Amino acid sequence: MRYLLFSCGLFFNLLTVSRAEDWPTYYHDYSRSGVTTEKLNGFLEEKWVWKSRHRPSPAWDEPAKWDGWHRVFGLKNRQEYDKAFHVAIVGDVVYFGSSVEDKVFALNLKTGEELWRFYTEGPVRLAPTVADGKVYVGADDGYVYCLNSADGKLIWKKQTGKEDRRVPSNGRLTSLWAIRTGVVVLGETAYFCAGVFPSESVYLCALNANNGEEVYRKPMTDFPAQGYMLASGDRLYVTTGRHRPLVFERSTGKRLYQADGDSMGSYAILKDDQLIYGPGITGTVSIHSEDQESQLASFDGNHILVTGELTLVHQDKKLVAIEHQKYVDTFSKRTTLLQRKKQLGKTFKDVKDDKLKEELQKQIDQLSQGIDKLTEMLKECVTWETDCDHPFTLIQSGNLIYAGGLNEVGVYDLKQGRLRMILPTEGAVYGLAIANGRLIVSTDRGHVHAFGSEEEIASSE
Amino acid sequence: MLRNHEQNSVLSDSTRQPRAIARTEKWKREDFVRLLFSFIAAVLLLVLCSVLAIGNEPEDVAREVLSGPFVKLNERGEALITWQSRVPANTYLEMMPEGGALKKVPTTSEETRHQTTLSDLDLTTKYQFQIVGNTKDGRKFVSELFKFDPTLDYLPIESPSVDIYPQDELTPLYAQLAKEMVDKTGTPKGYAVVVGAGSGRLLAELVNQSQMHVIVVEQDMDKVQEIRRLFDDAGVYGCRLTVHHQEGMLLPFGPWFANLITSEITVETGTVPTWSEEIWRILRPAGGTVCLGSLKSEDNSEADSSSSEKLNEWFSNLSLDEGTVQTEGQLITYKRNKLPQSGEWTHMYGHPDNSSCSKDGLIGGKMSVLWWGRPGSRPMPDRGGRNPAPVSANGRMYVQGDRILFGIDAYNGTILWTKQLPTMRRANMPRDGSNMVATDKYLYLAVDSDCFVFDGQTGELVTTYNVERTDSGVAYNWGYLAVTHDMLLGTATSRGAQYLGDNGEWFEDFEAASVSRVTSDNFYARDANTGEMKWTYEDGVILNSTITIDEENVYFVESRNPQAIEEKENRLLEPVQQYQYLVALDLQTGDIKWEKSYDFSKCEFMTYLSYTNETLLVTGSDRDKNFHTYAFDSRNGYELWQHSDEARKKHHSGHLAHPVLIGDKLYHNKQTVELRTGNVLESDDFDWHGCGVMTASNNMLFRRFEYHGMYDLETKERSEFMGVRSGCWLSLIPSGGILLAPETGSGCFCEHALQTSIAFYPVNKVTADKE
Repeated sequence: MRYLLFSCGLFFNLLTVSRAEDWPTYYHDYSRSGVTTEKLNGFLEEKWVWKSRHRPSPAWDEPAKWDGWHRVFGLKNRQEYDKAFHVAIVGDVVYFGSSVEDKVFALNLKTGEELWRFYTEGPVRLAPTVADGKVYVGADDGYVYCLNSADGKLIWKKQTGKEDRRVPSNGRLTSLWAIRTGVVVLGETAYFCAGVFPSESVYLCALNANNGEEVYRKPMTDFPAQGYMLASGDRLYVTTGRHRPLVFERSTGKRLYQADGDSMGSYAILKDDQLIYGPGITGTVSIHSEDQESQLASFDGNHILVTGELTLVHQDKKLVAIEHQKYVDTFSKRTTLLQRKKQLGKTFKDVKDDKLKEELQKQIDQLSQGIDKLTEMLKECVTWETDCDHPFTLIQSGNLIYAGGLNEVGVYDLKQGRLRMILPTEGAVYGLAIANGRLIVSTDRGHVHAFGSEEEIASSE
Repeated sequence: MLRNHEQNSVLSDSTRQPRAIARTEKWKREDFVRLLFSFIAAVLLLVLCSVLAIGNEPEDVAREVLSGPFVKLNERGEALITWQSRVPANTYLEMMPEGGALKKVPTTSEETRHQTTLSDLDLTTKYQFQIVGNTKDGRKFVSELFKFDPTLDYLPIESPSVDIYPQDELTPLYAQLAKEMVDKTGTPKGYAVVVGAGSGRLLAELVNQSQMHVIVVEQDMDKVQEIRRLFDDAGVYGCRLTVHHQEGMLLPFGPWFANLITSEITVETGTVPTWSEEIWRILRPAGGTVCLGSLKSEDNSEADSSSSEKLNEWFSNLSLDEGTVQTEGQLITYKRNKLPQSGEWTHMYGHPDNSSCSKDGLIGGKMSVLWWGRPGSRPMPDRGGRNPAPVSANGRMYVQGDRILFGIDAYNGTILWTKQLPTMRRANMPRDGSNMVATDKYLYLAVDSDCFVFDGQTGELVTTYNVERTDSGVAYNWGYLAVTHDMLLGTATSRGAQYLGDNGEWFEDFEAASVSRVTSDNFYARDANTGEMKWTYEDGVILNSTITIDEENVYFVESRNPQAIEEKENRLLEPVQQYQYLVALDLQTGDIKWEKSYDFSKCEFMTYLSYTNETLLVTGSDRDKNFHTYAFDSRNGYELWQHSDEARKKHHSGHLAHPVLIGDKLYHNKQTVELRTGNVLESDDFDWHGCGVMTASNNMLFRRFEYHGMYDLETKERSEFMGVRSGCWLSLIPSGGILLAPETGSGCFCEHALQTSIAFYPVNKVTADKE
């Protein structure tokens, strides 16, 4: 019996190992989905914690306390990408940069032991990308670095701004062409943007990933590039800080359009051809599709996870599961009716003829009824909703949702949104990643916590 | 029978008459007189008590007695609160987190100075406190409830002491040298550039003895790696010290930012620094210091002498017109002066002359980013309130947030100090004057009835002056503020008259709540160095927005309407639009030089007064948004011309525009006008988005287009710095040869991609950037 149990346990663990998956870039992939098929089994315990000597130093200040003219409170931070040290994980190594120690670190995923460190000449604000045995990372010194993932040795580095010019910024010297998008590596090409201020030019760059030679370098003088770049098969998506994302043709760097929608900000994910971004002024996430002139739909929330048929909308105090396509379709229909009603309303104001007015009013009333009906249908798209005190970030692993809160991570089940587990940390959790048997949690204290299954068999056994 | 009842005080029950019967008795004359007298006495007593009670409520006593408070965050989660009492007092503080309960906190007092330290503050909430006490003459006081936010710390990063070198005979030499360098620089904050690393010991001392960010420039890669590892092990790499591996002759740094430049290799070996031209380029104007020398050595005086000669020769290559070389002991220093031809923005509209021109002759042509960063939106008031402008002098800029004050290095954005002042707030500048003035040494700030004088570099309170009151018995605040020609100038404005703008007001429309003028009941002048009162003027009711000062005179518009004079409240509209006078006082004596009765009542939205080139200009707009402009000779008040014209932009403060005077020209309402004659020289139909007023240097105009906008008067070229929005009143100040643009768009929902404080420099004025 004992042997049987042992074999089951081993098989179980082998299953776990066989389902192990890397997390090679920020939020798992270039869609920034935050979704992995890897599952962590059972209850988790902290395996190790790495503590920075200093807290992360975000590039931008917090937003205003309120919009006094409109009397709107709760303004969201639309440039939030470096409050914690976000990670990439490949194999048994976790990689991240530091915005206060100007370094890239590689730690043993299982033990937390430092494997190597690489010095840059400025803060490293965004997570590295690991591809083909190389680590790609950008820094505030204006350089993109390509390092050997095994030992951190420099393979190449490249400065792609107008010139190498660093100026004072928040107590440091920062290049006017700092890399604030991370690096996307697809095939043999590394993509990123260099630049902070459009009037000093911001460059969309593509370099040969092996040697750093320039493939293209496209200037833009109207928008900055702030926040993680996304990529699909033939598109690059660049978030622009507090404004709406831009979309480019990946092969040429040609700008195609700017996303349209209610929202703005440097948070973005991709679902197929739909770009979902936010958090807007007070917490709105918009969905934009390339073949649509205006937004497809919007959600009240700060973050989104798209998982199968469901969309999880992450709000300040709630987690809401919505049937994605049904919601989008219904929202779209409602938008059409709202637009039509608005047009008729304008016409109604100008019309003098009573009979025509009456007719128009009938149409408006009918539209109102239709809108109300669709609004109700939107509510019916909600599969479940639950209270959630973990508002800062979320990812999905198997049938569990991990959400970052203050001094803890909450783990919810996907099916009904029930809170299953609380994992204590130090600081507000802004970064989460799961790979190869570990949950890595990054906080605003500069701590990187590693959790693993309690059932994990120690290597010495 | 009733009479018997009256005459006998004690009667048996059987004989006592009921009271109702007594009322029907006739009053005697004496009784009536007695009653009347008693009534009058009672009324008088009541009046006397009321009079005594006025001003003796604890809250009123607090306003009279207390000065401040100030909240300074010492470290994360810890606040030092200080305040003063005008008379000796025992005071203590009660504090609570928002929504909590008041708790008494121990206080340290020295006669009239009091302080307490609050520790372990919860950084997820704001705090409230009040000051309670008794004066030594027994009057109790309880202050209003003050607030502060412990998250607004803007403190430099905490770093450990670098202790990686052995203690030996060189230790005190390095320590002393570093100390002298920091002392000579005049500030422990900002940036230190060390060209050429040596042993690292001087670097360690610079880190330990200052709060500067130390940038090491080194050619030798092995040395670079060594220094990085050493200081990383010490826990300061990145946050306090970085090492740049330099290849080539041009340093990859912007211009004009380094507070201190030195060379460790020079100090240790006597070799002169490389990159000499670059050193000049990156050296901060207005006090940036190059320090070179050697460690004191008594063994090798010949070597020292040779080294000293080389260094002196090296220093002679720096511009001696633009700085001063000094030798003291082993140290030779060069301190850079202010940039030649640079002007400054010391008052709300540039100077006390309200010209909106800094007189800076340096700024022009293409502008590029000098620095950017905090403060961002969080500490600032809402953008719409027409807030006081930032001011700048001697390489420093001062910015008013929402009850928080910033002292900032103008050339590199280093936040030198902050303090929270819970009652510091003014808004609606078109109808009032600002409360903040910068001089080379100090920042003057009017809050409530006080004018505080802060050391510009450290933010420490140097002295306090109180408002000069009239005999009216009104409770006054310090109104208008200016400092010029060694004179500190102020007015008395009734408490409560100044606008606060705390409710999202925009003060754009024609309504009494927006356009009523803040006025003053007097004007006074003190010696700015000694505080001695020089003179006081008191006649009509002065419109604060019109007070203007040139080299010799003070000018203003006042109303001598008896109705306005009788008003206790200094926020008035209709009464001050009558019986108006344009008045000129001698700045030194306060004597009336001339005065002129004039009707400026068409200036309904606002009334401005400005001066340049012996010309005074009164401008304002009427409720139909037509501008009315009146020009006078400042020497005698003779009218030169007047002009009325429709406002070419009637919304988003287009109709509230403050004039810009540069030399002999007026720039206003999309026109360039010859100031002396009123002839329109040029019209420009350029439109701009959003609010704000124009500012100028001698060669450029600045205002908000969609974003920060610039117009070169020589080339006629218009440029806009994309992505960053200017404020809704005056937020772009050309000063010290650079354009300063602190973040002032707080709360705006417009789609601007970036929110940051930022500064720009003229590219063609910097050697290595010349195109």
